[in-house]
Amino acid sequence: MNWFRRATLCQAAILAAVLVSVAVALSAAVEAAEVAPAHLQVYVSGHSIAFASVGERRGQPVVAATDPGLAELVALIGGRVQYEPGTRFVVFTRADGTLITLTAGSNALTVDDASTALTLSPFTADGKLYVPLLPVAAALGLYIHAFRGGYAMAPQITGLERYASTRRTIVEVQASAPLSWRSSFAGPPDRRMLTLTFAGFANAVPAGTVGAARKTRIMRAPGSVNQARPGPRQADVEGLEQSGAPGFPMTTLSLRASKGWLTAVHRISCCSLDVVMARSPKDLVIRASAPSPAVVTAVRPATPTPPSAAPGGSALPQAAWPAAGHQSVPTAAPAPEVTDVESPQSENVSPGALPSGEGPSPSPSASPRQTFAKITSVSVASARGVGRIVLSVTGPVSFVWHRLAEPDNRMWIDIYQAELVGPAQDLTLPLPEVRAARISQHELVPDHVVRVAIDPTEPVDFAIGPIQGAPNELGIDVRSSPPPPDAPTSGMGGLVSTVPQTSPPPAVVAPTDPRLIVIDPGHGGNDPGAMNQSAGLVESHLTLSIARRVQALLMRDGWRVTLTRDGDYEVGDPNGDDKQELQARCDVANAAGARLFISIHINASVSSMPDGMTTYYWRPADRAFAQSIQQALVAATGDTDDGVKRDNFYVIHHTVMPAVLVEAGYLSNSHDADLLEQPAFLDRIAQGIARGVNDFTGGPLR
Amino acid sequence: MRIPFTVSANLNGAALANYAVAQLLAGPPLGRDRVVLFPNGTVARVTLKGDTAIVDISGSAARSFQSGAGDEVGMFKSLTFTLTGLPGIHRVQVLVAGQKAAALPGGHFEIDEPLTRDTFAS
Repeated sequence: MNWFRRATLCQAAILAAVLVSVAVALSAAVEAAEVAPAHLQVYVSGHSIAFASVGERRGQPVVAATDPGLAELVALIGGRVQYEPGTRFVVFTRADGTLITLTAGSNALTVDDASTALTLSPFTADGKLYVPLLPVAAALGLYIHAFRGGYAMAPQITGLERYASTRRTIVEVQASAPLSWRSSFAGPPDRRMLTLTFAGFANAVPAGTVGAARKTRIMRAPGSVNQARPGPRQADVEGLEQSGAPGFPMTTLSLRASKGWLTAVHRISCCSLDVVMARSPKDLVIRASAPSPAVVTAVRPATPTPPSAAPGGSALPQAAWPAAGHQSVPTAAPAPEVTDVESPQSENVSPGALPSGEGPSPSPSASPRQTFAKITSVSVASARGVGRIVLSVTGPVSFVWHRLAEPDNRMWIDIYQAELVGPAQDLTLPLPEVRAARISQHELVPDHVVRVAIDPTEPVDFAIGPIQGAPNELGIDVRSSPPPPDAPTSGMGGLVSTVPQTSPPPAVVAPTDPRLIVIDPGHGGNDPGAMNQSAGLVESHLTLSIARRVQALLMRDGWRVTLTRDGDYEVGDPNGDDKQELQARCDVANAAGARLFISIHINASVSSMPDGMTTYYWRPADRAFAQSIQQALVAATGDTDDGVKRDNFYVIHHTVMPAVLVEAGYLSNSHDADLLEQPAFLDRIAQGIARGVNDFTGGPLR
Repeated sequence: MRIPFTVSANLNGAALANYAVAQLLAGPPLGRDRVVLFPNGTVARVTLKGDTAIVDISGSAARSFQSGAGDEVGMFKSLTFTLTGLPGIHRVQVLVAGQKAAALPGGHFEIDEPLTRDTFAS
């Protein structure tokens, strides 16, 4: 990971400077007290961090692993810190999934598998484990600016790569934290400049990376000849510059696009994006090679307008609707997830005039650590000529709505910092003018957005807002009457005062990779699991066969899928104990920030009588997930439905995302064993599980 | 399904708990529905500490568990319901060959914390 090494080297220089200055000031007094109290101001992207127990040791700022300020700092860049008091390990997870580990008494700082040496090892004082602040911040990918009395830190643009073919240029930008950006156009029509501005991001990409001697990798565009070319001169990188104050740096990427060239910005993951520049709309599409992109916004050098500074709704593009079949061809518009609707046909992938746009930009106050309002129930009510969708929410939310003009008429409401409890749902509004409505978790990173999409056949009037006398409810009224001619096409609002609900929301961590599902093929290696000797069936072989089938199906649907094991081996240390093995499986999912976890098993009993399928869950919040899987599994296989059950199995307790354990049939039952011998039956089990995932989630986020 | 059955014993305390568990491992003395979930050869020794029965499992069950989730839950549920049915016992801490364990070897059901009837409340 080159950028990390760069960050560390850069950090080493700053660290050395700090060591000299503070060592002179404090002289020998530091060694007497283990942690010298210090008043330290720390800013991350302009936010002041309030540390509870920060101090200095041997001239270095140190902070307790349990300090809420440390958790706040990490959360501001989309990561998290895990530390159990009494243990020796502190583990930081960066937004991109990289793990950083420090150990009390050890001078090794481990980033994924590579270690560097610390000059001050984590140590215990006053019953607390302290870690050195600056090396941790550097490992987290933060740019550090030292000033008298403190440090200003900011995430960084850590990588810039250019891939070119004869037909298009792709510029990939990587960062150390969830990226947000603003795009705008300037310049004369024949030499249009596209600039992406990353506010609050410093620039760790060394000068020279973006210059005459750029790193160029040739990629085959769809249909292009397999021949290396330097790439089109009409679309290229002009420069990458850092500006702004040291405490709040800003990085600007400038791209040149000639007249007639199209540009699209694709979010690839939380922390990276691809800018695609091509002449033909079809070359703007990034096809499903891993990782699959989600198109966020698209721009075409047309009429330049100043970049929109307004947050929220006004920055969302007024969408042109995607061509039919947008499931396979990602397009530019934020498509509401109304399915099975007839989209107007369009020859042009790119929407009309979209002169500037904004990447999904978490507002400065939207710290990932904040708790999101939960949408705990959705109901539909109706009176004469009015259909009302009622959402029960657990906390304040803000929303932005958009409506399209005739003949499309679709509308959608995006509710920010909200989490939909349970799967996406189709809603039936009892109005003849509404053919479809749907609520879904539209986005998890960087914003938690729940989208309600409504698809009317003709223009309808609607209103959205709090419901009188019900402080925890947000209502959306749809009327069987056309809106007034001057009705606005977009707006925003919020639900500000809610009464806290008595039942606390489940402690499930938001995934850092909302397109990732981890499948755990049960057993393996020295633990074969259950066996049916006469049929020659071994549980660990069957679970892997099924897991691979599920993986193939889900990947076809656009998910990213990781198996905890992809062979007949132990996931953990072969000589480790049972707990270590089970925890290793949880670690795969937890470290990757997966959205869902599914452990696959085959049942067996001392009795030959039991048969059928069971799905286990442990956290009450996971019941809906278990039900979706169980229902689809039984429907796909036709096997006996033993129902969903709640029991405390290790892997569904110690994973932090929605998790289920599937027991797909009994090896000890002759009927089930006959079925499990047939590859076609394993296919059906896999189809059931994959179907259950899509039913529960509404499909991968697009 | 839980099938209660009654035995008479003129015992109390740890002796009663050991007797009850030995009876559980032997299985109900009747009927064609008789199923013994614990593998044949399982040994369990019970000691009492406050309201907790500490059950040290050794023998077959401590080597490698070969059944599935249903039997695994059933084993610990029957053990917990048997012991917490005795006076003064509210919790059951399972040890495997004298040690706390996350689960049985080859198993998944969590046993490192004491089990109560609430553990099995769906």
